[in-house]
Amino acid sequence: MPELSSAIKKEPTVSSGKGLKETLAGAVPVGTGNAGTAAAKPGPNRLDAIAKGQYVEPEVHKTVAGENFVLEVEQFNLWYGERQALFDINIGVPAGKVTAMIGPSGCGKSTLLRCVNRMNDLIDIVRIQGTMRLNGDSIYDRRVDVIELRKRMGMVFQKPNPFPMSIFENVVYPLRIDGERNKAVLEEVCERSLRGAALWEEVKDRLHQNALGLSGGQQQRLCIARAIAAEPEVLLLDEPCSALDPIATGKVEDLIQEIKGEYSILIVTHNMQQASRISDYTMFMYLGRMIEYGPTAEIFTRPHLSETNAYVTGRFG
Amino acid sequence: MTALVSPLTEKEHKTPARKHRRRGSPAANIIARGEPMVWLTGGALALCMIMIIGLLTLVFIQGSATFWPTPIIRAHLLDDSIRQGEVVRREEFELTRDMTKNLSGETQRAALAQMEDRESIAAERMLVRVGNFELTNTHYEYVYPFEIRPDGLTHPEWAMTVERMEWGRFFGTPTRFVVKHVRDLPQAEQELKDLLEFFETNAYRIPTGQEEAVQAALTKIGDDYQKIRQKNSALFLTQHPSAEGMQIVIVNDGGEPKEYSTETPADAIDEIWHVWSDPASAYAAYEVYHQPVRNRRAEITSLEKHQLGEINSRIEEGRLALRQIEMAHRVNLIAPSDEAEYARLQWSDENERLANMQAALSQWTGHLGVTSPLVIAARQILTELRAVADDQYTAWESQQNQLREQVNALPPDAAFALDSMQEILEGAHYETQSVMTKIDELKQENARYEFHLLTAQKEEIALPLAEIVRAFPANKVGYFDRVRIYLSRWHEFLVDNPRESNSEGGVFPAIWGTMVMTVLMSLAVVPFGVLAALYLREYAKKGLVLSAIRISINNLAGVPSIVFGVFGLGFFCYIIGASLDELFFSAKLPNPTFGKGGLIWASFTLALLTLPVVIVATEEALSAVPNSMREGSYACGASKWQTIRRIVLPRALPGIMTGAILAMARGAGEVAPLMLVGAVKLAPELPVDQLYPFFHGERSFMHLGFHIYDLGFQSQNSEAAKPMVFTTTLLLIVMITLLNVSAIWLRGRLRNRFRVSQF
Repeated sequence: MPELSSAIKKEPTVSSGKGLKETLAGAVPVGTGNAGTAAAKPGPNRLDAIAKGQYVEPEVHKTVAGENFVLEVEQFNLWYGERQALFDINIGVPAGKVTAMIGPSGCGKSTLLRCVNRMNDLIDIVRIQGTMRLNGDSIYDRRVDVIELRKRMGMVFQKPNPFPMSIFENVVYPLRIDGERNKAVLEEVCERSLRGAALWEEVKDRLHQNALGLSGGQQQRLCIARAIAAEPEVLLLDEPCSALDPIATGKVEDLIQEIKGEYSILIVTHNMQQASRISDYTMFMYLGRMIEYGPTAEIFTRPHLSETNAYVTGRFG
Repeated sequence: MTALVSPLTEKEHKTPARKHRRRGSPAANIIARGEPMVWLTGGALALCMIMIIGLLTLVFIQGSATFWPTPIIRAHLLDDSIRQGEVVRREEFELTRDMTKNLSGETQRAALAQMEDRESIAAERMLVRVGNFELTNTHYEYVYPFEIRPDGLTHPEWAMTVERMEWGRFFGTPTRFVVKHVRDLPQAEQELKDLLEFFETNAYRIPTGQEEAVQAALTKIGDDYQKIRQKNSALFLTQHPSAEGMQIVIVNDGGEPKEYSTETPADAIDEIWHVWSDPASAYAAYEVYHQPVRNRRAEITSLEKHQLGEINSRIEEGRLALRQIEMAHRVNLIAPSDEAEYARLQWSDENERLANMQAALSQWTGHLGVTSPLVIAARQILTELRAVADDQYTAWESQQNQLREQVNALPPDAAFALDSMQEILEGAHYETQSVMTKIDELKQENARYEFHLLTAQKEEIALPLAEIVRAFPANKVGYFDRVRIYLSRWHEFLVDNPRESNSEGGVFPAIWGTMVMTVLMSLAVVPFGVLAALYLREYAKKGLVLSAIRISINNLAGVPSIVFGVFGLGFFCYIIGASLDELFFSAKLPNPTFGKGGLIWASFTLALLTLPVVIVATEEALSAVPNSMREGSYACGASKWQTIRRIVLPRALPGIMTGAILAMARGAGEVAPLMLVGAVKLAPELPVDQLYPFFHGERSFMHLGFHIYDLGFQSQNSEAAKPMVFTTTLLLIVMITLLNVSAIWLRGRLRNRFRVSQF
């Protein structure tokens, strides 16, 4: 594979001048599939309308707009080859908070998450359109160094993926690839990250053993430790507990609660209880569109849209 | 729930039995239960195993039996001839009436009697290794049962098997073991002898008119010489007394050796022989003296190989430097320089001889007085000889001056090359002389020992002890001695050079060549293959070109190996090697240095041959690395190369090792291409030695696989070579197994590091 970032065909963004908050207040429809058949008709049957490819106005709660955003997404569209997977996403991820993305399988949550640190560059057929900004710096600008960009974010994947090396080397991997050789610095970072991931007490005596010898839950917390070792601006969690048993899940959730003040966290989850337990804001997505976005308590107890209500209460999805 | 049931489902409910009933013949039933497939697959496996195990067993049994010492038989035949040797095998054959027509007299009658009135009968014959090639002109003879006399088949008690450096095996019974003691001349006797010899050789130079006086003086000195000789001989006899079971034989004055007793006159003894002449004591003496003699022989070989080899390579170097000057300035230097140097050395040898004579002359003057006619004559003779030597010197000088003039016209490096060449030649001359003296001394020492054996045909043969590799009374040795001989033969096989056109001796150069070539090949193929696979799997854009390249690589694995050999010869030897020769070794041309088959070219050719194996295995190993690991690394901000180096490669290493092991196994067993690019029948010079630059990749080498081919199909003594084919095959299989096992062990250790835990 040649360098992927250059292979991606970026199309010019439509609304680059506008601030995100204005966009959130009244989004402009862009790139709808077959706009000719029917006008946008926000009504009781939004899901059918979406399925037909019609534009549906996303519902963003007023509280969200008052937050300070670490990550801003504007008019974001994404195609896998000919198939469009994300439609006109306009969101802001509040700094220092936990933001959860929920929605049925294939709704584009993971895709959106992977767009944030440009992991989708690795896939040849992906094509995007729109803007993303991390603390005001464009992510998809032509001049952006993808490698430097990824160093500003940490990511944890669905399945624990520790590297085939020692626990210590796993944690300090982001520093190693930056060429850090100072042993004192590495050890300090290792301890801080492992403490941050609530794993220090369990592994401090076997730091130089193979990380693949850890249990699944420990491995996932190790991955979190690795993700926070470089002190990222945003932590991206892609269903971090889906491969773990309930006890390990509990530990990871506690961990997220503990570190949320320090880091801005964007988490994808299938588990609605989890979303309600750990997140401050929740975003409901469906078929590549953002449907409703608001404070978690409101989304789960008194959502503005009946579809959201149906989903969070388990009537569909 | 009922609402969900569609009309179609209801319809199905009416006829459930029909839908699920199984119909068909009993045969179909059996197939359905799958047991025939178990038999078929299991049977295929069993067949494969039988063939593989059968082959291995055959190789193992035949190969390991080669070195077992077998007893010696002696067959006394009806026509009064005798066959003595080892029975190699017994085989059935069909004896027909036609065959008996060629037989003679009694043998024919015996054969016919055995046939009675049938046209043909099945009979058994023995193949006997009779050895003694220099006497019989054959190594093997068939012995037919009907041609043996009644009670003619015996196992002679003292029959010995003798393995020799040349002429193959010897079978015979020991008669004598001889140790010769040559008398050293004391100084006084030596001086007289020198004096007499001097006048004998220079008789024609004795000045006219002095002949009679000189002759008279010489007769007197001759008498003195005889007296002193007799006295010394008597002393010599007391110094080498007889011992238990030993005879004394003396050689008088260069005459025939004769047995010594107190009555025989013991004047002028040159040599005393100690002789053990019954089989038991002769064999005992052999066992005492054999090892030291062998050690001296090994020393001679080592002197010849290392010291003389080193001197020769130095001369070669000087000659090459001179040759470069010759080529640069289009002059002729080497031949005149050699001639001049030769003339000078001749003169200097003559000069030295004269100096020695001068010294002897002053001795004689001391003994005989200045007025002795001998001294006067000798002085005149010496002056004459000096004049001859001076002529030689002048001849050399003019040659040298001519050469100098020629060289001085050239740039200074020519003079330098000439000087160093002459210096080298001079040094080499004296060093060679001293080495040769050492070798001669060792050879003389070894020549003192002889082992006499009597063949079955009653012919006594004296075998020089240095020529005997191993000798043992085959019918007397016990089980443990047999094991000892067996092991010693294996040891020889593993560490020695081959002899007798590879059918005897060891295969050490071949083992060495195989090992080094395999290692070099692996060193060449693994990095290349891994890099290529990395590009294909990690960097290349998927598409038509990539598929085409993949298909080509896979096809490359199916190309006959001889084609690679032809390519290696054409490309590596004749294009790359010849270019190297032009650039760096032009002085040696037209003799090729790299422009012919050699170790490195063979390694590169096999590397090319095994490249597809490595690429395919590496690609598979790389694609088996989970993408989640790559993504995890990218997410940490690693670049592509960092991800490959730190995550992908370590994780894929066991798989890459598997590829390397497969490549190694294939390469080590390959023969056909090697015949074209450097494997030869005999190359005792290893590609690594003590001569700079220590590794000589351009040299030809021996290879076990090629050795097997050579033994099996090119050997002149095919019966003797046959068991060696099996033994060499066994060795090759064991070697490849060892190589593989060690590589697998290494891979196992690596794999443990990347063991994936279960959760």
